[in-house]
Amino acid sequence: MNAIDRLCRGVRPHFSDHADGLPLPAVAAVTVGLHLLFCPMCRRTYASVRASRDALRALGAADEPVNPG
Amino acid sequence: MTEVDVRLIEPVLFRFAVRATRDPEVARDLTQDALLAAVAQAPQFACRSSLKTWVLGILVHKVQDHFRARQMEPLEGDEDPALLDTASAADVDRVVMARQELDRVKVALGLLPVRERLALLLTDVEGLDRDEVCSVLVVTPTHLRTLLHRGRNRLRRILERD
Repeated sequence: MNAIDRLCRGVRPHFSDHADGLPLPAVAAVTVGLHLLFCPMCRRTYASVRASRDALRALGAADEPVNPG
Repeated sequence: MTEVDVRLIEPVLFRFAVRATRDPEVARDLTQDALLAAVAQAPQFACRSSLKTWVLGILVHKVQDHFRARQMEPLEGDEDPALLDTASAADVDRVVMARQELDRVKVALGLLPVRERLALLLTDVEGLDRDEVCSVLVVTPTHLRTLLHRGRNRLRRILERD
């Protein structure tokens, strides 16, 4: 594993919190922000996390009618 | 827990159970089981969380017990409720596309491991805050973060694959 891979593995667990707007530890916040600027793979992963979250929120917002019987 | 509470919360529970199991019949049974358990345990409800969160927690245990007992992945059923009222042809196209996208998300959710599916349903679909989800799933914040990260990534990969 090279240094870039190690960086990627280090920041990816924070993507869900970052996408949800939750506060990250200060060092993690800076590292994630900088890493996303320079790593296209992680940018794609982060975009995936956000897209999934948005799709799920849309499901919740649809508030489909139900009939439990 | 009053009859009014049950009437208000039952559709929420049923919708959650359908999304978690993809089987309306099983969802109906689990919803009833959860409500009966909630009524029986009502004296223990300490108001530390909302009533909805508390009863959702009971339902989550019922869903997990169901999968554990059956040792199966959820079946893929397909309920198709109306999404929105429509006015014009363009609206119809838009609504059909939106419904198709939501259906794809529901099917993809059904393909996730149960714990990841429940974490995403509680956090993103039901909108519970992280502390509530940790309490319902009995996991640490770090574990929940992992479940959300893996679940969202896996969901996206499934959606992109189709």
